[in-house]
Amino acid sequence: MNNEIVSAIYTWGQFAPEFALVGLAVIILLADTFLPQIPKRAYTIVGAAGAIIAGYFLYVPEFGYSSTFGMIACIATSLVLLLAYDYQKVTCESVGGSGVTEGTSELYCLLLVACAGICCLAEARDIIMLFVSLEVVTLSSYVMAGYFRRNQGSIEAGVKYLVLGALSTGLMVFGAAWYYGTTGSFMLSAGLVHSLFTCPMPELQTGFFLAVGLLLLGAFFKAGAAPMQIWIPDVYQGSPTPVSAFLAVASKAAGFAVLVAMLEPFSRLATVHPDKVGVIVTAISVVAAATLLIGNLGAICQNNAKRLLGYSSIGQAGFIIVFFTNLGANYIVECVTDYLAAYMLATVAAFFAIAMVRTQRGSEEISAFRGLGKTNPRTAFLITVAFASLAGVPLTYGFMAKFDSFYTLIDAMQYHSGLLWLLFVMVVGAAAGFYYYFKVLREMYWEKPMDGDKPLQVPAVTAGVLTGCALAIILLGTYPLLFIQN
Amino acid sequence: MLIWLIIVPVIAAALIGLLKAPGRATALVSATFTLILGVCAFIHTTFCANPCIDCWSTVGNSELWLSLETPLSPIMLLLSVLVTFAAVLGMKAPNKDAERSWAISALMLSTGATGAFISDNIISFYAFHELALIPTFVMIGLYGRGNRRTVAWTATVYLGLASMVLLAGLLMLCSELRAYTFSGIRLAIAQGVVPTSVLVPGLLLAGFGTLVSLFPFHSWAAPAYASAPTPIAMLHAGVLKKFGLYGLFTLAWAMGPVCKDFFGCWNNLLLVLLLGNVLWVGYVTVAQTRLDDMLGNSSVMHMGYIFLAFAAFVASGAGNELAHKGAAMLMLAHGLTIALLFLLTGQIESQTRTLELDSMGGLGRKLPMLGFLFGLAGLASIGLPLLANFAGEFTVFVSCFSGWQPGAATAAQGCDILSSIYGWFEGWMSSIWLIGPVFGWIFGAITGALNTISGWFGGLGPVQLATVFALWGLVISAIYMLRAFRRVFEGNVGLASERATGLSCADIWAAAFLAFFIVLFGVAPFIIF
Repeated sequence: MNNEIVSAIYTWGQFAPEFALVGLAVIILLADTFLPQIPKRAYTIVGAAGAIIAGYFLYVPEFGYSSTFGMIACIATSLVLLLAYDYQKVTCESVGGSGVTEGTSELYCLLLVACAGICCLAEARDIIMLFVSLEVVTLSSYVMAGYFRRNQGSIEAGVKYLVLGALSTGLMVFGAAWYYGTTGSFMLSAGLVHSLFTCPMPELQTGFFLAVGLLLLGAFFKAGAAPMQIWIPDVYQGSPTPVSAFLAVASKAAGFAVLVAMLEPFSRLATVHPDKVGVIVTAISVVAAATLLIGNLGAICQNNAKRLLGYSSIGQAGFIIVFFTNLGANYIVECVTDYLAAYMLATVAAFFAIAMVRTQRGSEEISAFRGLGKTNPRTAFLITVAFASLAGVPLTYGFMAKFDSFYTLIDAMQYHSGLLWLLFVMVVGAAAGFYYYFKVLREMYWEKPMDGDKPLQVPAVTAGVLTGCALAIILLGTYPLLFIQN
Repeated sequence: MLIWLIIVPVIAAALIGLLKAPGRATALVSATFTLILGVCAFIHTTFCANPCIDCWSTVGNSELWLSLETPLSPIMLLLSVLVTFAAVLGMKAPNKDAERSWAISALMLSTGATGAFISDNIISFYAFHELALIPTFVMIGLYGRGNRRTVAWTATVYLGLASMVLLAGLLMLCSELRAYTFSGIRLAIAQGVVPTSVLVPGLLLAGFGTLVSLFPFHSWAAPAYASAPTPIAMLHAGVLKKFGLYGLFTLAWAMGPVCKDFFGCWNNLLLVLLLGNVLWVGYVTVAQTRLDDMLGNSSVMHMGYIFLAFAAFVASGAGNELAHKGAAMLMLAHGLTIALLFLLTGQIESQTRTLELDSMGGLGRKLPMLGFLFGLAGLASIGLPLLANFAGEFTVFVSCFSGWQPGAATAAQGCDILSSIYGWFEGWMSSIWLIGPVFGWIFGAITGALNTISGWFGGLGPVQLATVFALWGLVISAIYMLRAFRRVFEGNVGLASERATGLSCADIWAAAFLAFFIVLFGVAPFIIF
């Protein structure tokens, strides 16, 4: 039907940052092998710097191609590598034994490779590219989730992620086959979809919707949306904390990059084929509602901080999926990346806090945060900002993001009047968010420190990142509410 | 200029929190600054012949979302800075650490309230109010009295849920009108855009109503005020709670005559609920045995009068200037009075170490100054003439009858949510054997009874009828307030009162500061009107 040539839509130049990232990973791997005297910790700093530079080149359009998703993934990877820097003590204990740094640097290489995969993914405009880059991310993540081989939880996380990930990969391949079978092409283009919608064979359209549904399920797996969210709590809880942070932020960005790429053709047809796009919108609204409810209500009774963030990541994914209910609007991509950026700043800060508490108090339970308001008031304030932003307290960046989500839905109601119920689900979800994010604040301020609790020693990198994140959250959340921008 | 009202307290809070600056002193500097700026803003916008409203909404070359354009803004700003100053001045924390936390949260609370009252942008208006949730939550949980954690959670869940409902309502309204500021809504309505949704005013009333503790969503409020540390209770009950009423009045003002149809559907339901506030909560207040519980409930009860003013304002299609001004006066007066009462309660507790009414008595002999101030505030609260609340309550009650002629009931609302629910029920029930007729008879009887009562009073309309019932609230407040005064200050010196030693200078000044303004606005209400 439509024979666009793949080579015409990609250029080698646009993948320069991705190649650079993979190259950096290879260099670190080689240096690790041949120059064992270099401390392994140095690689995290090198990797973080490399990821930031790659992100810069992805962001500035003068360099040929601009990809906000890629940039978010790069910044997230860079922050995660910094987190790994502070987390090295636990990494050593869980890999080679206390104090043995041998075998830890591969983790940092894998993070870079996965990041390169996400950047490619964000630029994919056909299903083959989409699938291959997604697999790069997924395969690296399997290894990373089970990286702490002396830790039973981590191994369990790795296996669970592998099994469920394989299922999602299978669904995606199946979807890709149907897609090719019904359209005769792997391209994701509005023209292709339009010609299919107008073609006189309705059974082809059924097959096409099946294909899109299966492919979306694959994307939902990465994004952590229902019904493919089952893996998240266990894997986040078990994985090494830097890896959990990577899965929560960068990998989620990958999922939404896929969603945007796949739904983009439909968004262009929203006015041409309102009834057929309406089917997709209905499906998305059901997924959004299920995700919001599972994530936000599931989080209420959690006591483990990483597990809480796992459910929170599901809940937040629900708010992002709501953006897609207004498929015809031209601001969706901007809103999604904005939300992801807000989510990234707060979530990374939260994981830094968890890693710090885990390293010094040996526990990842929420109760391990007890009394921080007394012992470390400044750090406690920074953590408060992060969790307030996740809850969507106004004057934080997280509020602006959630506000966009509500606004988009209300805007979408003009076209799809049956979406009112989703608004109430969102209200319930957001209100539940206040409850469970505030549990951490409660531990910090209401509980007294136990007798043996010393004030936490805040490492310099953690202090820097927490301060940076908190400042960004407050500034980006306050400025638009005070000053009129023209 | 207005931005300094936000920035200075935030900087002060940051200094206290991050650099360990002395809590009360730093907060006092900030509160003095906002007091001066706030009073200047009030005087400038109220008394100047051609006030330059726009000068307040810019800083350098940037335009702000903050403005004093809406008629209630300057008044609420005044209330906010006055109560903040008194709360900080009269702050008495148990230790240095607590003093810092109290100072930070008092500053944040007052920033949130001030920011909400001076925001033109509806999203900022909402956002600033929400900001105050965190300090309230943390402070009640950390330094509250009694069963503080449950109370803090209850309040947080109530307020969090209400805020979300409110956000949904506000966004739907803004999206329908394509305007995101109060002035923008006024403009849109003037250009002929008419909001049609029946759901939106319901969401707004439920959201704002819960935040103002409208019956039956009021049960978070009294325990929270009773439990909160003194400055938090003063600022929350006195200032922040007025946010919901301010929002309703400002929206109605922005909508002009359209608000009659917009909120009108819900007006009869609102009248029933506000009678719940005045009468139900009023009797609950009489039954309280602790002073702080009693004051918390009384503050919930008094909200009913302001809702009554709102109902009158809406029923007249925003034409009832008297209701608007009376409500403004009453909000200001109630804010000052309840803040003063909570301040004095804090002082009583620090003197007697109890708030059980039964174990006190005769405190007036030990501390005559405290007795005098409490008496003044109590009498103000029950509406003694020449004190600010009287001016407010009297105007509100009068305004409910403005435009009404004996024998000619106000025309029924175009669509009434109560009657539509009845109608829906009737239609649904009539399909079931026997139940249909029985329900039909009951509803018929209710309607008939209402008509009869209305006839007794010479054909009163719903607002006037509600006013007649609400007047009974004055008697209830007199009962509980005078009883409380007698039990605390009169009679033989009780066991707890023996412990009283004496008040510090700052205590007296903070209370006298508020008392002065209560008298001032009572004697010279034209300052507000």
